[in-house]
Amino acid sequence: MTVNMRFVCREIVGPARAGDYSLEDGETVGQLMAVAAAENGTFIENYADHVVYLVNNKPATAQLTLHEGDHVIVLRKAHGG
Amino acid sequence: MMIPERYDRNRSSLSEAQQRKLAASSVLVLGCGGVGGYVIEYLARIGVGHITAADGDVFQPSNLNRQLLSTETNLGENKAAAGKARVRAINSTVDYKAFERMVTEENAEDLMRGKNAVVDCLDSPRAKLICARAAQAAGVPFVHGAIAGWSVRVHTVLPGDGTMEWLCASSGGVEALTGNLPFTAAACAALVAAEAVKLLLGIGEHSAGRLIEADLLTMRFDEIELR
Repeated sequence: MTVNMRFVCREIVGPARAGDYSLEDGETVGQLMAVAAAENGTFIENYADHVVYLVNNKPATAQLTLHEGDHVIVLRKAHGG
Repeated sequence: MMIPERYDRNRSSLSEAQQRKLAASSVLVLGCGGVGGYVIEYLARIGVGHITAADGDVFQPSNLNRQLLSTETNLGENKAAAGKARVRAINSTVDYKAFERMVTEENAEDLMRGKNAVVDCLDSPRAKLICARAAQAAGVPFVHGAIAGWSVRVHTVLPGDGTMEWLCASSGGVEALTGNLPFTAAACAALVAAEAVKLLLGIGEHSAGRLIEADLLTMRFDEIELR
């Protein structure tokens, strides 16, 4: 399946590629992140500790199973002031 | 009632009735560091009549790059207390109260009582969540501001909106890795102060239901709809 991915957390993922990513059916947000991390090679260490996810503009966890055509946005967690 | 000359330059944008409404309004500023120091400044200058500022921390040398209220001569002093002298110097008509302790589950709801808006300039996701929950319980709008390096986030949370539960999931803000820059703090403060003023006056559009994300390094602004 193909899902669309967008990053709003340059400090965490670097200049990672936004756009379509291919996954196996039944794979999750966390597995998508692993694919993107491997492809881009620009994610910081322990990146998952610093991000939250939206899938189709709804809050999601890394365990959420994705479906064909889903839109995933990766954001920083709440941060400083 | 005549509007004082000091507000002449507000006039084209705010009516006299709106200026009076601001004078009668009460805002709680949570955190008086990078973002909070500028928020206090903007609210005092525009004429918000009652400002309570909460921060249990003291100034350190590492604050001097961005925290408006910090100076070489007030290192070691409480941040909320430092706001008092600054506000008195800017606008002596403002009723400014300093809460010189950390906001906790025990005191947060009391602090929210009677406030028309809360501005979140805290640096800890846990403290943000405690305060967002207290604002929900008190039925007060909560304007969330956050910075990391070159990045700004603004999001207004109205009563009944649980977004902060998700944004503050577990611990660890990335700013420990990125640091915080002075103009990032000022940019965030300008946006959250504008949100607060609009909420106080019931005018314009605010960012409830949307995350506003600005990356000052790439000068890219993103608006992300939340469902």
